[in-house]
Amino acid sequence: MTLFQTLKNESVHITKNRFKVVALLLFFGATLYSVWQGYLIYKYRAEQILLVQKSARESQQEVLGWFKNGKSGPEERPWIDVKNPFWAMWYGSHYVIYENHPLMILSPGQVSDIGIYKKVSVWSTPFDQDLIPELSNAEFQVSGFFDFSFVWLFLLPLLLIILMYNIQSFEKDAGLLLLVNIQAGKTNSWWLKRVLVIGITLSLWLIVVVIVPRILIGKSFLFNKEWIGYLFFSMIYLWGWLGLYTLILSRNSSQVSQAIQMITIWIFLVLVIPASVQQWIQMRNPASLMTEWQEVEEKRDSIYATSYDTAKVKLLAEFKDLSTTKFGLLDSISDPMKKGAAYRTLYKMYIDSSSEVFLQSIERKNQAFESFAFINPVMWFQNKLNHLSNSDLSAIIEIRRRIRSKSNSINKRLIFDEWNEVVVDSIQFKKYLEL
Amino acid sequence: MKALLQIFYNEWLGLYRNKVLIGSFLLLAFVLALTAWMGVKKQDQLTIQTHSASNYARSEWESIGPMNPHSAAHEGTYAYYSPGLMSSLDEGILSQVGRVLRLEGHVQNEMAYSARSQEAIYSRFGGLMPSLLLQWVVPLLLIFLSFRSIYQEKEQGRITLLLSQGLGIKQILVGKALAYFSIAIIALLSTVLIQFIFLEFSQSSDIARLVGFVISYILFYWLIVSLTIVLSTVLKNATGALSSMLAIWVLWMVLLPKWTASIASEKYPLPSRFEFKQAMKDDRSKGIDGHNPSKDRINKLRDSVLAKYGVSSDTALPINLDGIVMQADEEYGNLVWDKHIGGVFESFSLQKRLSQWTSILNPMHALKSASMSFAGTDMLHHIHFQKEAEEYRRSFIKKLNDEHAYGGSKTGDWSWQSTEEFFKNIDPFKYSTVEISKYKRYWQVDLLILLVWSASITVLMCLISKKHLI
Amino acid sequence: MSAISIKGLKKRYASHPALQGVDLAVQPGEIYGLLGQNGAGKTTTIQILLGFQSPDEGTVSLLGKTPGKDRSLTKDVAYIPENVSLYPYLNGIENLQYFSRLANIHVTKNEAENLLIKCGLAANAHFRLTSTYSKGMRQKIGIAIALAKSAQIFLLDEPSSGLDPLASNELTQLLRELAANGKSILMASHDIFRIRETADKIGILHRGKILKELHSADVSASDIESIYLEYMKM
Repeated sequence: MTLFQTLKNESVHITKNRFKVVALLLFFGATLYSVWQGYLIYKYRAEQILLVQKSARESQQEVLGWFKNGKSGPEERPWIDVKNPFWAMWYGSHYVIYENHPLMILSPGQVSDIGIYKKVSVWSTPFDQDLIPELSNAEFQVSGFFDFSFVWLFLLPLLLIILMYNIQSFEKDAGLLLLVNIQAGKTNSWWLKRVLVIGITLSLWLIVVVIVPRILIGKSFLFNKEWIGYLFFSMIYLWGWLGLYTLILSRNSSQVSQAIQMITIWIFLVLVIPASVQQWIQMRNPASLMTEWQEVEEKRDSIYATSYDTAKVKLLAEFKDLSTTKFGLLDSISDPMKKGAAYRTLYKMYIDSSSEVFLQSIERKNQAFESFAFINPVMWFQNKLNHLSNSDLSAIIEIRRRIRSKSNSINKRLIFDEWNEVVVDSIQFKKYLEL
Repeated sequence: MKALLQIFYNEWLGLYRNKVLIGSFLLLAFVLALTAWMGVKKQDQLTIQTHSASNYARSEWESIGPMNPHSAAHEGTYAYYSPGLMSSLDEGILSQVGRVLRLEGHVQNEMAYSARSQEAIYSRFGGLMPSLLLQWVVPLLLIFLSFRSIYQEKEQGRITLLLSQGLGIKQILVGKALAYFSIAIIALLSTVLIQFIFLEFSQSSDIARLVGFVISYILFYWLIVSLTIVLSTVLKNATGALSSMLAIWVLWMVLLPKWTASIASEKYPLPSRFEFKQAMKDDRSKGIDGHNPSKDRINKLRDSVLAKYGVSSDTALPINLDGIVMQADEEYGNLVWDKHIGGVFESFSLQKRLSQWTSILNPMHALKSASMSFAGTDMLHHIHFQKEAEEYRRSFIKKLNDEHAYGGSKTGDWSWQSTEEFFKNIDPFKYSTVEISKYKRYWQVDLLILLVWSASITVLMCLISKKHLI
Repeated sequence: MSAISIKGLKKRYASHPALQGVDLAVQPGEIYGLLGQNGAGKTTTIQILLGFQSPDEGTVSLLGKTPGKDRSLTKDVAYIPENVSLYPYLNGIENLQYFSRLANIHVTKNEAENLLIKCGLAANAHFRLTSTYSKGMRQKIGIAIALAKSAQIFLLDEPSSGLDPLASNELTQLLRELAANGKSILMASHDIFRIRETADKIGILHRGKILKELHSADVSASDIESIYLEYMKM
């Protein structure tokens, strides 16, 4: 008998059981619904990104209009002069945008834990209060989105229980096992084939579902590394649960006993272990109230209180080329704006190194979580899939680093241009926009 | 009654003599105790952390030194959300939302630095809190225990023997239901008791919350046990009953809450962050009604102040016009904020109300809602904190603006400084969890739905006839 | 007055007629054997007598009372199913005490032991968990539960099914002893030999009707078999 025929034969155990058919159809429906939900999140984010980009372009055009018409800034703010590098940069509408990744349709992960975009200025830090997420009802967010990764990682094992709990155990309870043994010769290969039918059906469904986002957004990302990785890890996850449940089936107990064993494993792997790990890590490293960050910000006064000579030495140690600028060549500066730029840069340097320390501490905390991967495989897969779709914690940290980096670039450019007394024109302004 | 007690006792004896079940109970007891202990520890930690952060923010404020009041308004301070003792039972939305609120002039910030923004997803269903076990694990345990009890009587034909001894169906079903229900009650009460002892609940408001919490779970557990027993009696075979109960469990725990959230979010949509900011910005600069631009408002204010003091220029004023303008702008900003964030809060409330009514189909949702509500960790409590903090911010900024206006400086004099003493005399922000009675129109709905469900299933159980059992 | 009286009893399940006018009477001290193949209506008859089901037509009375309506009957009627299923986590004595208490009867340990010995259960099995019992041993506990009630009427559904010859014989002796003490016994079975050995009167039930009544003293087992098979072909 060919494998196909065997599979066809064994599929009768699913197709003739109304409850299993309904469960399977509900699961299929739930996966499609979850992909649709993911798509709505993706679409919403894309719309917001377009709105922000449009708004940024409009305000940049407005500034270019000022240059063209010989204006120095908005009429109601006469103190603003965009020919000054500081104001030109201020009106540059620099944004860091948390870009969409096509796989976010399947795993939106932690995208709702941080803002989609942030306007970045010379004063921006990775921990600014305006980096807050979109408005949402937190009560609805307690267990995250109803996304594909949720369905696959949490509901799939429940579906497998429904499909598998009575494999062999029904025959045992009904006293059919001997008959099967006589007919099939080996009972092991007989019930393993039944498991195989389930595995193959769900694997095929997985492939179909993972292709759907491509159809929805009409982009070709089919054979890239992330997509293959996503499929691979989802597949491993499916076969992992099948293997686990197969071990239970091999013990050949009654239907109820098998169901209880399976649901107990589900409860432990999906609920109890992840919840314990979370509790443990949060007790050891409670979520920061960021008072340390306030301490960092409070340091500003002491930095501004240092003598100019000391400040300049520190500044030149970081930016050697500053010594060749117009104001770098001077021993002292009387212009408060130029002097302020020096202190601002020093303060930014301090913020920059401190924020990296903070970011690294978050990463370390996350590493503690990764060390639990062996006993907490479900959440490992969750974060792995989120990582592939750029919606995990590392993506959030990356956004924070990009804010830091952009703000640093702005700052660096500013101090050089301010100390060289650059007069900004539309060409220079456009260069600022490229930062 | 005697026979009912006999059945009750016999079920307990059966459980007691089953080594696997005893092992499971011991394991559950251990996990519950561990959870309760962790909840207590975490609560202690949370309180210490919040106190220390509040103290830090206050000490920073008090050491601000002589400063211009408006600069001090920009320095601002912080409010930290410390949920009540009951949050050790159910953390609700705590991980989702930040607990830090920066209070400063010109702008109303939102709560920031949520735990979720600092962590990977460690668990999809929250930390190992008592609520996790009480909502997820205990109902499952009840399903497995109570489903087996009736199905065994039916499958093994003991039911006819029991009936022939003169027992009524109600006695059999209720006796068994009570036996399994009592297990859940022991689990619930012992968990609550550990929290009660170690967290030193003393305020009557906390005790009222605790009572409400316990009542919601009692109603739900009775519902689960009686529903399982009804299904295991009515359905033809054991696996059907088990599968149906599991399907109901998944539907209630996982699927319906997500669909409810989708429906509520669609029915009462929230503005995007971009729209929200834009609308706030527009209203602030162009006027709430679009006919009252900020420039005109300031000019009008200046004219009225000059007229009041009978002078013709800002510099001739005995007070500082800048402080008055700042306060006027602040008050206008408050109106704008009230309009927009008020709309958002209203949407949250409407979403909650709608999702509450879906509990008619999903009593689990009513339990979760009541649990969070009594624990003081739902959206409404979170909003209450934000509103209280905003009230504080308004009086805080007003004091600074008044000092700026009437403290002795003149218009345009930005170098003028207030004394450190003045800043020290501004009261710190204090917050205590709101009385549970404030949100009774919400949790009463949850309790009512749970009560109706429990009563209906009990009636259904009483309607079961012999033909379902034999 | 008959202890058990059934007149014109009819019962339908959807379109299927289970009983089509059954008439029988069992006197005090008499054992009535209801002989019939699977689906003949034996269990339905017993369930109606127990009040678990109500008849569509006809009258049924036990000691002059109507089952299902008169709750005082439960103390006078004992039922022993085909397969006496006990609580596996209780021992023999505990099971007997538990079921008795459900019927509001307090049985002391000594009384329980005596009852079990009377029913033929060896003393060394009394304190063993019933999960280790054979079917015959459980049957004896079932009879002991019935005896503890001091019931006047015993209704037995296929009591000898699955019992070994020795246990079957013991059951016969026990039932005869009960009858000798004035108890009325209705025993449904398809075991021709056992029914001939145990019952005083035998009714052949076929497709919901009693086709013939025989006195077992008047016929041999082989005669009953011939008559039974004859009727089954009808």
